[in-house]
Amino acid sequence: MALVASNLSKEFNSFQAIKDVSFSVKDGEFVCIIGPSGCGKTTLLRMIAGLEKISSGEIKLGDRIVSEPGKDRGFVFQEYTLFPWRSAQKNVEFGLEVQGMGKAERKNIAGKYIDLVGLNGFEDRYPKELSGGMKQRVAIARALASDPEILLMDEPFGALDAQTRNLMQVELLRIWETEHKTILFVTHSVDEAVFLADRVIVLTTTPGSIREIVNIKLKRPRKRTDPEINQIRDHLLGLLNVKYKDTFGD
Amino acid sequence: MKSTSSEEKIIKKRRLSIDTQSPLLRIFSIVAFLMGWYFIGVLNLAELPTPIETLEMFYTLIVSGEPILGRTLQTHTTASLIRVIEGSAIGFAVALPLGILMGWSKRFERFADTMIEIFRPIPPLAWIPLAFVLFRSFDNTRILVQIFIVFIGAFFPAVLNTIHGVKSIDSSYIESARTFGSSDLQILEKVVLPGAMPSIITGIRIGLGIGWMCVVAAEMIGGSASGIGFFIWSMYELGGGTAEIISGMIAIGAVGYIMNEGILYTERRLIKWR
Repeated sequence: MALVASNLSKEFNSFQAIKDVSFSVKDGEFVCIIGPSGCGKTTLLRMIAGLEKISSGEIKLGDRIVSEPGKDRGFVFQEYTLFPWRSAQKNVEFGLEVQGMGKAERKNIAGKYIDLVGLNGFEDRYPKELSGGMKQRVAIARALASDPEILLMDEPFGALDAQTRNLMQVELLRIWETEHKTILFVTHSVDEAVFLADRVIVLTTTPGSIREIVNIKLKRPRKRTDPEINQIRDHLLGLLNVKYKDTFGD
Repeated sequence: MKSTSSEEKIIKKRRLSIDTQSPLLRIFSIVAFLMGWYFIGVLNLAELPTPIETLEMFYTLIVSGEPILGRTLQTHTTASLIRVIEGSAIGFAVALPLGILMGWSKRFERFADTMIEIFRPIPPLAWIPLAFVLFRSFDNTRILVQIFIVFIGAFFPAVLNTIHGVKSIDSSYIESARTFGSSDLQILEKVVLPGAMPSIITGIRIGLGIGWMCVVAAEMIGGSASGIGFFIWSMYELGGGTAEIISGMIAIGAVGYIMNEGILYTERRLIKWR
């Protein structure tokens, strides 16, 4: 379902983090938000999730205005936030449990998503017994199991090593294609954005506002070293860099 | 060459030292203690029976009992244990909900923490006189006083550890639960309680330990008629049977040790995720 953000602003006391941001995400689209550190991209995503109060503006999912957290928006955090006292299986069941679903059905659905993220055989492991990449697979399965209309991902692969990160990007695209989910993905990595996104929203530094929205019409699977990809990467880096010069000088 | 010789030294050192996992060190400390005790007794450095005499008395007290009061050591110990369980159960029943509430709500913490911090430094035993007045009208005043003292002793560690446990839950777990549309009650049940459980169990363990110390002391002071504290005090008043007194103390130590280890064991079984 489509997400429409209109004139979003966020102030913390007198500090303006986000200023007048408007954009939309179409049904089934993969959109990345990039921007320099501290530009408020995480704040923006948290506002959409309902974890952060909106100072002004409006967020619509389909034809509903959303302001509180809800199961219609799945969230994947950078630090996994798996519940350490629950096994992988029980973590994936969490959202279903909250909805009051019966045990057998829960188990069934969770099993399906554990399958999807390729964690068969790890159901009974506790988070401390899983690697970073595996934890993030569980977190993705947990978010998907509640069947959200949009998946919000906040630098989900930021804590992973480069190789695991590349692998997870490929995995995420596979999952996105099989599940036909809408994804809004925050990252500070230009490489990640050009590899994943249909569109990239580039934010400026504080207060975060939209600098440009870049379409990437290349078909997938994309080759990371493709000249066309390089061109887009160059353009995005330029957008981030110019702003850096504007703010801090050379 | 130099480096090789220093490596050899390290290896040699390792061979000489005792593996930290082996029970040898523990056994050694017990043996050293008993030997010290033995020599103090034999050389008459203090008015102490030897460990062997004490052990014989301990055995007699368990098998045939103590003739003047006419009860076995385990009867006295059980009487105390029941009071500790009653007193601390009431203590935990108040402390756990209160601690969860205080950890959860800043407002409620502000409301309650000053009172807790004012009452906390008062030693449980200082409550005995007031407790006697409060429970005067009941038939079993003495036992109620002892249970009350245990309650005071067990309450504070339990409440403080529970507060700490709830407050130290990473807020990202709560946020993560919220993104699934969890209600406050569901967050309490599915995030706060399991997350705080290790601290809560620690609070229970320390609370029981302090409750156990309190009951023994309360039984000595409170003009009691049963219990291990009463037994030890009676042996002193009846002429200072040192072997009997030490036997009683051994019983206190043994029960305290078993309670502590029992809870640690349960914790390891219950909380495998840590």
